[in-house]
Amino acid sequence: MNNEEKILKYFSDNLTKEEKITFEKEIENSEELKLEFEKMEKILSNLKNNSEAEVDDKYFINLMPNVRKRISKENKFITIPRLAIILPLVAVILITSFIINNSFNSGVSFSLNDNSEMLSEVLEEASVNQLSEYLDLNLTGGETDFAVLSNEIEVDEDNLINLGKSTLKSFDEYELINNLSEEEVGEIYNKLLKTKFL
Amino acid sequence: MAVDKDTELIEDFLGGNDSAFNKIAAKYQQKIYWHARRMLGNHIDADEVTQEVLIVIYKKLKDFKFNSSLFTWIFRITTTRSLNYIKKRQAKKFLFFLDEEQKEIKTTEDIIKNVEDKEKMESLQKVLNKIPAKQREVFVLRHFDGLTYEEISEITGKSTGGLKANYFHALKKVKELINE
Repeated sequence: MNNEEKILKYFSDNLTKEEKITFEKEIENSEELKLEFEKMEKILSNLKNNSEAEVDDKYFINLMPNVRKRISKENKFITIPRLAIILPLVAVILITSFIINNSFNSGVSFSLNDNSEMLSEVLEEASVNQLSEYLDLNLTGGETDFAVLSNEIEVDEDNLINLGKSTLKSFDEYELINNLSEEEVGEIYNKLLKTKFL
Repeated sequence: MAVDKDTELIEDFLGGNDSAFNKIAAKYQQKIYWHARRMLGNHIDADEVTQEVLIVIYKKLKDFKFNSSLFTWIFRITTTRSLNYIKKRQAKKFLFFLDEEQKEIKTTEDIIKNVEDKEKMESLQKVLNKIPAKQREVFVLRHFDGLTYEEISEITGKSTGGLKANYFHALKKVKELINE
């Protein structure tokens, strides 16, 4: 172990008790080692002296007020993003539950009653394509029961009659509907419901 | 006795007396600042870390379990934050190609007003900045903060043997730098 290593080990407390005693004896007996030791001692003491400085006390006086400002700012900053996430989420949940609720509760009747104009258009179109085809091919006789029909598609009976009249008069076969059986009318409207409303 | 006083202050703070935190901060803020300053080498960065540490203490004090002294706990936060800050700074320097000139501009703001003191501090920082961060940490804690290896071990979670080795290498580096 050279002198430098011994000195560094001494200052870093890397020597055993015995090694330390031996080293201290060596210093007393070796001028060279003593000089090197003192040099290292001086370096360390200078470093410590250099770190002691007169400072502006205002900094430490203002430190806590600055920290408190930052804490309250951070708290606000945390609250805003939380609201930014929570509010749209609540809005989405409310809208979704409103839509789902309406769909489940009112079903087709809601759509039909509240959208009679649309229904009229759809029936008009559908009756031309489907009803006339059906009537041409498969008239079996019997009477149309608008009560059953209205029940099938869950619309008001009077509305359905009016709607049917206005729809079928376009191709002048309205009276033929009276000859349809319940089954046939049901089948037609089920088709209409499936293709147009479901 | 100091520990008892700390316990009293913590309990006071946790009991709802917010101003008790000011007393805790007043007691430790200089120790935090000077440790950060020696680790980071300038006032701006040391100020940032000091404020961060005080904020962390304020927020986490409710979770303090009294498993160690408040001093050890605070120093643990300070050393961790300082090392993390060095890592972040190095990453930033690497990513944004910051040069020495930009670093100098940053260091003009200081709480040391006396020119002579400032020069002394700068010469010290030149040496400290060249010591690898982990060795510097042990060197600063032992040589400047005056802690024993056992206390440093409690703060850093490293073995005293490892700490002694780090200190030895830090001393060697200091000697080389001074003799240059």
